Amino acid sequence: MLIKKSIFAATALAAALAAAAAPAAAPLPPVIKIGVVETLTGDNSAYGISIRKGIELAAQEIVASKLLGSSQLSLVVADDKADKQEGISVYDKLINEDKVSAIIGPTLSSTAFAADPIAQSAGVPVLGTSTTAVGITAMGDYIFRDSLPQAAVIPGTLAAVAAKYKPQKAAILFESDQEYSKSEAEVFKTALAAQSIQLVGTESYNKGDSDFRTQLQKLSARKPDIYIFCSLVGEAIPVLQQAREIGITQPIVGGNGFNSPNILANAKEAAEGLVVGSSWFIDSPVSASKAFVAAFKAKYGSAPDQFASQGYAGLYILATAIKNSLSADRAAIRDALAKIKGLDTTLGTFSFDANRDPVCQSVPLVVKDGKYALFQ
Amino acid sequence: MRANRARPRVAAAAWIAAALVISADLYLCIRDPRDSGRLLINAMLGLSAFATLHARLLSLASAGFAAIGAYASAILAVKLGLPVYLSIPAAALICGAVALVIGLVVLRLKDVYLAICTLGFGEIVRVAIILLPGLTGGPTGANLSTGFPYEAMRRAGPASIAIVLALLCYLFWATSKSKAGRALRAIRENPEVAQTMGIDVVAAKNMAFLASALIAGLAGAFYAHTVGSLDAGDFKFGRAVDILGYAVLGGSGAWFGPLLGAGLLTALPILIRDGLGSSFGFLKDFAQLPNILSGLALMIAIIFAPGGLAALFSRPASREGERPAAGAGNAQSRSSGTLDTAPNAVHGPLLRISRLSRSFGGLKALSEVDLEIEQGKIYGLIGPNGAGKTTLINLLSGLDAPSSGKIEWLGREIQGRSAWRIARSGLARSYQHAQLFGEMSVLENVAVGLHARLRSSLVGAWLRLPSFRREEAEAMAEALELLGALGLAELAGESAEALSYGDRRRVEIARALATGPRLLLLDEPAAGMNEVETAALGRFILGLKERGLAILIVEHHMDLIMGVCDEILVLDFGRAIARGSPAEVSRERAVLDAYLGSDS
Amino acid sequence: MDLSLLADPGFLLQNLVDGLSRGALYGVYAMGFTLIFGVLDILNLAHAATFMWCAFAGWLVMARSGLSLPFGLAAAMLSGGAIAVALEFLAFRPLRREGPAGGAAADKLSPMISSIGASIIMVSVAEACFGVETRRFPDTVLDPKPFIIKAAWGLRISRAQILILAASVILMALLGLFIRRTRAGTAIRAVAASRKASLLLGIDVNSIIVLTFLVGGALAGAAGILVALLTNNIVPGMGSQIELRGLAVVILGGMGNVEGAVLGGFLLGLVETFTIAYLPGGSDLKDAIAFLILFLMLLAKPDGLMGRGKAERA
Repeated sequence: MLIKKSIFAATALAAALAAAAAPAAAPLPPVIKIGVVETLTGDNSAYGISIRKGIELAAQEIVASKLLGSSQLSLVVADDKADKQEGISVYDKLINEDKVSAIIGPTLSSTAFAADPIAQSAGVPVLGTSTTAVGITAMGDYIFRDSLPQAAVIPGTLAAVAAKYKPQKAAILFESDQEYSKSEAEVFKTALAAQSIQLVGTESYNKGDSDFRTQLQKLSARKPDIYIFCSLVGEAIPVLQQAREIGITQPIVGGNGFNSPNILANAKEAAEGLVVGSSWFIDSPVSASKAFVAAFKAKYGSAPDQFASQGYAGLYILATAIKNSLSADRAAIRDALAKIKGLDTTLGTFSFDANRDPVCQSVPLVVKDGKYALFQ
Repeated sequence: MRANRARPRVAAAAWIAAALVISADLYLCIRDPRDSGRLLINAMLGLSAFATLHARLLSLASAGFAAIGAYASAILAVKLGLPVYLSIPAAALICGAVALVIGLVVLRLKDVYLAICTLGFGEIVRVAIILLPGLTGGPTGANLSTGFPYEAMRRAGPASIAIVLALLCYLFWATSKSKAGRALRAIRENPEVAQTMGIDVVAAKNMAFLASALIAGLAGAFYAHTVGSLDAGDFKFGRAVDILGYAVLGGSGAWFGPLLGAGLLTALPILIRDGLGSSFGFLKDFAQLPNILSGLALMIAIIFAPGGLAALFSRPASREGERPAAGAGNAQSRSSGTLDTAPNAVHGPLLRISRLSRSFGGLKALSEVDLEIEQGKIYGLIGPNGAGKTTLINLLSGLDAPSSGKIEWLGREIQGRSAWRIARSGLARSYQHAQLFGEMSVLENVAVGLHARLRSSLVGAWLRLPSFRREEAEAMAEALELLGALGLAELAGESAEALSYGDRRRVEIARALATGPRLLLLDEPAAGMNEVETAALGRFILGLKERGLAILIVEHHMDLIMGVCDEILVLDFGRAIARGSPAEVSRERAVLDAYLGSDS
Repeated sequence: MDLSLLADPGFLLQNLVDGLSRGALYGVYAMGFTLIFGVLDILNLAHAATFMWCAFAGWLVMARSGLSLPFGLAAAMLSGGAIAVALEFLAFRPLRREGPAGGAAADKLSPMISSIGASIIMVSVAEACFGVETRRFPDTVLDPKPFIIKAAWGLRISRAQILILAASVILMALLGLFIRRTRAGTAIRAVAASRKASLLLGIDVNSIIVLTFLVGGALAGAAGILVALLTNNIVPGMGSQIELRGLAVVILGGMGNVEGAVLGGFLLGLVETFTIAYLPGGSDLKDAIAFLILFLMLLAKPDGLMGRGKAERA
C-alpha cells in the first residue's frame, strides 16, 4: 500500500514536473521565416546591399549562438528595386505566399509609405532599418524602425555644427521628387530655426539630374555660412563634387543619405569636412559594435557602414523579440517588439519608444581622410 | 501594309500564337490575382492606343491621360468622398474634356510632330503632378497629409476592370461593323480620298482622340483603385512607349490587336522572371532580359510584320462581301426609305467657274479659266499633259484652294471649302491613279461612298437596332447594284488590292456614284482600258446622263470624248484655248497646235 | 529675395557662361539628330542611347585604359558613327524595302518605332554590362579645378566648360563647311530635299544615308563625351534627360535645320539656366520649361524658328 502510494506520488510528481516544464521546453517552430525587403538593384542599391550584408551576418551568428534554440532562421530576400509597385508586390508575396513572421525593410522611405500599410492591415510586424522620414511609424502599431528618425538626429547634428562654426546663415539643396529628401529638408528647416540660423536659400533638383551647378551658384550667391545637402547616394556624389568645383569651401552638412562610404570613395576630396549625423560609426566603443565590425570584416573583407550596422542590429532586435514571445506568431512578435527595452546592440543600448521609434544615441560625424570620424 | 487574302498557314499560326498568349495570361491571372489587374489595365491602355493608331494618329498621349485619370479619380474618391463607381467615370470624362481642348490644336500637326507633342503633353502632366503636392500628394502620392492612403484607395478589383474592358471590346467590334468603322479604315489608308467621299476627317480624328483619352482615363482610374498607390512616375515616357509597343506588336488594324500585344508584353517579363527563372536560375538575375526581348520584339514586329499579330489573321473583308447576297432584296429599287434619293432639278448651271487661277510659286498651273456646267450635260476637259486638268479637278473637289477666281456650286461659292462638305453637297470625283482602299473589299469600298447618305447613328450601331441593320443591308444592296451596273458584281467580295487596273478604275467610279452626286468629275476613267472596255464605259456614262447626272470627264481617249461629250474645253499651259462642241473643237487650229506642236 | 540677385552682375555672367555651355551641349546633340531627320524624315529615337554608349566608350578608353583626352574624344565620336551606321543597317534600312526612295507616306512612323525598339535594347544591354552605378573619370583626365577670372567678378569657368564651348563651335563650323562646301555635303542636301530627284540625278542615295548617320552619330558621340566630362556622371540612363531636351531644341529650331538646332540649343540652355537662377521655385520648373517650350512651339509655329513650313497638314 505504501509502495503503491509512493509510486503514485512519484508518478504524480513526475507528471506535475513534466507539465510545469512543458511550456518552458515548448520549442519555436523549426524554421522561422523572416522577409528581407531591400533595394538590391538600381541607384540606391548601395544602401540595400549593405543592409543585407549586415542582416545575413546577424542571421549566421544568431543561428550559431542558438539564440532561438535549435530553430533555423530562413531569410526570404526580395528586391524592391526602389519601386513602390514592386515593393507592394513583394510585400504581398511575402505575407500571403511565403507567410513570413515578420519583415525587415524596406530601404527607402518612399517604398515604406506605399508598402507598409499592407503589412499593417495584414498584421505583420515590419522593422525598418534605414527609413528615416517623418511619419513612418505613424502608419500603424505594427511598424517599427531601428533607424533614428530625421527629427531625432538632425537637431543634435546641427547643434554641434553651430557650436563649432557659429554660422549665421544656411542654405539647403534637396531632391524634390522623393519623400525622404523632402522630409529631411523640412526637418533641417525647423532645426535651423531652433538654432536661430537664418535660411537664406532653398533649392531643389530632380531624380536623375546630373548638373547642379546653377542651383549651387544661386545658393552660393547668397553667401551662406553652411550648406545643407539632402540627397541619396546617386546624386550626393556629383553634388559634392560640383559644390567644390564652383568654389564652395564652407562646411557642408549632409542628411542620412550621406552615411554611405560609397560616397566617400567616389567623391574623394570633395567629401572632406562633410558633417553628417549618425546613430553609429565605425570606431564606436560599444562592445557589440566592435565585435560586429571584426566579424563583418572577416566575412566580407570590407568595413561596414551605418546601414549594415542598423541592419545587423535590426535582425538581432527581431530575434530577441521572437525569443521573448516564445513563438513565431506575428501578433506575439509585435507585442514583444514593443516591449524591447535596454537591449545591447551595435547601436548601444536600444529601446523602442511609445511610437515604436528607436531610443538610442546619435553622434555627429565628420569625414576626415576619406573616413568617418567623430565630429568635435 | 498588304491586305492578306487568308493565307491559311499564316492565319493558323496567328491563331496558335493568340491562343498561347491568352493561355499564358490566364495562367498568370490564376496564379497571382494582382497580375490580372495589371494585365487588364494594360489591355485597356492598348485599346486606348488602338483608337488613335487605327486612324493613323501617332498619339503617345495615352500615358498622360491615364495619369490624369488616375489622379482625378483618386482626388474625387479620397478627398471628396465620391464612391468609386462615380469617380472612375467622372475621371474619364475629365480626360475627355482635356482631350477636346488640346485636340483642337494638337491634331493639326503632322505625324511625328503629333507624336512629339503628345510626348510633351505626358511630361507636362508628370511635372504638374510634382508641382502641385497639395493636390496630388506630392511626387509619390504618399504624403501622409495630402496623399492617398492605401486603404481608402483600394476599391476596385479585377472583375470590374474585366467587365468594363469587355464592354469596350464590344463597342469597338460594333463600331467596326458600322459606317464609322468603314470611315476610320478609309481615313487610315488615305485621308484625302476619304475626304472626297464626304467623310469629315477632322471630326473623325477628334472623335478618335477623344475616345482614346476616355479609355486611357478609365484605365488610369482603375489603376489608382486597384493598385492603391500613385506615383508621378507611373505614367511617364517609358509607359507611353510600352503602350505603343502593345499596339505595334498586336497590330493596329483590328481592335483585338493591341489586346494581344498587351497580353504578350505584360506576361513575358513575369514569365521570364518567375517561370523560366526557376528552371534557368541565371535568368532570374538577368534583370534586363525582359526589356531586351521587348525591344527586339518591337523591332522585329515593325520590320517584318508591320501589321502586327492582328494582320496575320484572315481578313474579315472577304466575309463582308458575302453578306449582301443574302439580304440583297430588290435589286431594281433605288429609293428605299432610309437612303437619300436621286437629285432634284435645279435652275441654271450647276457649276460656274469664273477666272479660276492656281499658281505654285512661279508656275501658273491654271490661268483665268471660265466654265459653266449644266445639269444633265457631259463636258470634256482635254489638253496635253501638264495643262492643268487634274489641278482643276482638285480645285473643284476641294482638295486644293485657288490662288484667285470663283467656283460657284449650286449657287454658292465653294472655293477653299472643305472637301468633305463639297462631296456631301453632291460633287463627286474619281482619281487619275486608282485610289481604292486596298485593305477593304470591293463592296466595302463602294459602301464608303455611301457614308454621308447613311443616317444611322453610332449609338444605333452599338445597340444593333433594327433600323441600323436594315440600313446596312440596304447600303450593301445599293453598293452591289452599283457594282452590277458596271459589270463588277462578281468581284464584290474580292480584296480591292487584288483587282486589275481596269477593274479598279471602274470600282472607283462606282464608289464615286455611291455618294449620290449631281456632278461627277472623272479623271481619266478610261486610262488602261482597251477599245471594248472604253466603249462600254462610254455607254455607261451616257446612261448616267439619262439619269440626270452632269459629268465632267478629263480624258486622253479622243473616241470617248468625242463620243459622249456635249461640250469640250481645251486647256494648254493652264489657259483655256478652245471650247465648243466636239466637232468645233476638233477643227480648231490652236488645239491641233497644242497637241501636235506648230510647224510655222 | 530674388531681387538682389538680379542686380549681381557676377551672378548674371556666371549664369550666362553656364547657360551657354549647357546650350552648346544641347546644340551638338541636336545637330546630329536634326541632320538625320532632315535627310530621312525620321525621328531617330535611338540617338540618346547612342549618346550614352559613346560616353561609356570614352570612359572605357580613358578611365580603364588610361589614355588621354584626345583619345577619349576620338573614341567617342568614332563609336558614335559606328553605332549610328549599325542602326541604319539594322533598324532603318530594312524598312525601306521598296528601294531608297520608297516607302509609304504613312510609314514615317515605322522607323521611329523601330528606333524606339533599338533604344530599349541598347539601354538594357548597357545596364547589363555596366550596372546602374555611376562611372566617373579620374581627375587625370581633366582637372576639375576651375579657372577663376577675378576681372569678371570672380567668374568660374571649368576646363570642361571651355572644352565644350570650343568643341561645339568647332563642330558647328565644321559641319557647316561640310554641308555647304563639299560634294558629299551637297549630296546630303540634295537627298534631304528630294530622294527621288537625287536618285534620278545618279546620286547613290543609300551611301549618302549611311554618311548622314555616320556624321549624326559622331555628333551624338561628341555630345556624349562632353556631357560626361561636364557632369562626371556616366550611367546607362543618362540619355533620357537629353533626349527630351533634344526634341525640344529640334522643334524650337525647326526640324532638319542645323543652324536652327544650334540656335535652339543655346536658347534652351540659357532659358533653363536663367529659370533656375532667377525664378523662385525655378529648379522645380526647369523640366517643365523644356516641355512648355516644345508644346508652345508646336502650337504656334511647329516649323520652328527657322523652319520651312512643313509641319502642318491642310
